[in-house]
Amino acid sequence: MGSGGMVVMDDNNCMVSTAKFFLEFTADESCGKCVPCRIGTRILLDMLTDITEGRGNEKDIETLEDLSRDIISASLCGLGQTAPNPVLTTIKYFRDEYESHIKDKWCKAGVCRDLCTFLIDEQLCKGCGACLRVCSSKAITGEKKKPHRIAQDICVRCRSCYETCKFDSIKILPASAMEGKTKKLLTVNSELSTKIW
Amino acid sequence: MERFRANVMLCAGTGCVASGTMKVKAALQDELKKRGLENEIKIVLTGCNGYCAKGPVMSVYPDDIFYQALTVEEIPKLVEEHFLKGRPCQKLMFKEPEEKSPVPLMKDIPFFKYQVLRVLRNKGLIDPEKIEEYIARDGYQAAAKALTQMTSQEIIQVMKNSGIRGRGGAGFPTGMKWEFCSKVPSDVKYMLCNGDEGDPGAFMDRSVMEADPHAVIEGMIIGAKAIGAHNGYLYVRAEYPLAVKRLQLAIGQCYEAGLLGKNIFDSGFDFDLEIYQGAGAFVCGEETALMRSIEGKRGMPRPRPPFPAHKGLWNKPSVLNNVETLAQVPLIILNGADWYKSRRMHH
Repeated sequence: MGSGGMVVMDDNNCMVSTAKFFLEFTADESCGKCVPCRIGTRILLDMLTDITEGRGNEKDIETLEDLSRDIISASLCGLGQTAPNPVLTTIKYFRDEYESHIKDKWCKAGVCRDLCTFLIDEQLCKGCGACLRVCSSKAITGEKKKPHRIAQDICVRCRSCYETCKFDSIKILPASAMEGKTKKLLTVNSELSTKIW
Repeated sequence: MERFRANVMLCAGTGCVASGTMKVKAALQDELKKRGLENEIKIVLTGCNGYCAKGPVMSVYPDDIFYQALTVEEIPKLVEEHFLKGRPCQKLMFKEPEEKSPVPLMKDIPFFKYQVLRVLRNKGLIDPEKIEEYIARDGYQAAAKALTQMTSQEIIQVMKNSGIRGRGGAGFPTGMKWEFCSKVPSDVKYMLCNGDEGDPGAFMDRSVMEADPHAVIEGMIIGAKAIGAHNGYLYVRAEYPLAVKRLQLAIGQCYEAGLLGKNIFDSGFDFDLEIYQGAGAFVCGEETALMRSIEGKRGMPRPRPPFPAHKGLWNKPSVLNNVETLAQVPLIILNGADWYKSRRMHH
């Protein structure tokens, strides 16, 4: 952003959501005087929202880039001239994340709730119960020292279990990973997870 | 003057206040009173130390012992151990995540060890609400030098030689900006300061304004002399109530001390300064929008040219500088352009 402030992130951050966050801010703060900034930032934001909610299509990345460049060249002040930068740079350095959001409907960081499924790898789970305790929607069940399970119809995909697990046994898979299978008590075994990962 | 055995520099930046500085201060006061130490130990509320994650923090001088993550419950023990028995309280000291032994001194903590403080030279060392403490740290020396010994051209030349560039992000050479404005003939000019810091997650202007408001004012006085302005505005966003309060106090103290107003330092130079509070629009950090906002109009940018150096606030020549840029100005005037040049980053 304008002043050159720095934000440090790791692979737990979804780059599409990060770009969306900055666009929410600039779309809100656009003063409305010039059209490219007023309408352009809104369209960018709508497109990013679509991508994060699973409605993206393959031409979106190109359109985002074109539109961003137009906004930068036609805006009156520094706000419009820099507002699309988060979009352009995230596409430049994290294009694969955009592609997996659009093509695979998969947010690998598990941030976009419509684009991920959380599953417990039976072979890695030690049954320590840490995830069970942090789950706010009580979607996780299981006995001590035995692999736990996440009930997909209750899970709200808040990431708490993923952040808590010390054994990396919670995997983030595409939302479609469980399609065609029973939606009740599901677990994933290592074969499935290695196949997808 | 009262003398104290030790000074407790309690951080009162917005971060530490949010994590409970004021409660800790009250507990500390009570406890010192209970132990009969209130005339020996002095509590000073300082500006932000930049270590907000472990707030509230404090350092104890003259020993320079640094305590972090203070709680009201720990205070009685701390007072008893440190101030009564003279044994610094290890429990509240900084520890490296992997190591067991605490690091007692602020200057040994990695976060502080590698910092070279210039803009924030007074952070944690002075009470930002007292002008005397700023003056004791060479405050207003630069303004005195600029107003009584230097001409406008000399000031601008020093600024140009130093190579300082705007710290708001765009990096425009400050000396050139001042020169453009100084060359425009006009009876009324304005010296403005941009404290409308609105980027998500950016707090550098806030920490300068909260920790050392007088440095910003001094920078503005020097800038005003350089461009020939007799009026100035400090545009600060209203979401920074502590910064507004401290700047307001500082301006009041300056008027009392004769550092603002008529005939500053007997030099015949007049400068009046007031605060204008921004109403919360991010775009008002843009210079032309900021000027419209001070005029009381809707804050919207306008195309340039004409540049603010020719037609700025109320269509009069104006200079707008970032808080951090202005806080550097006294240092450059006092230590010279070469000193600054030798320390700046190479691009």
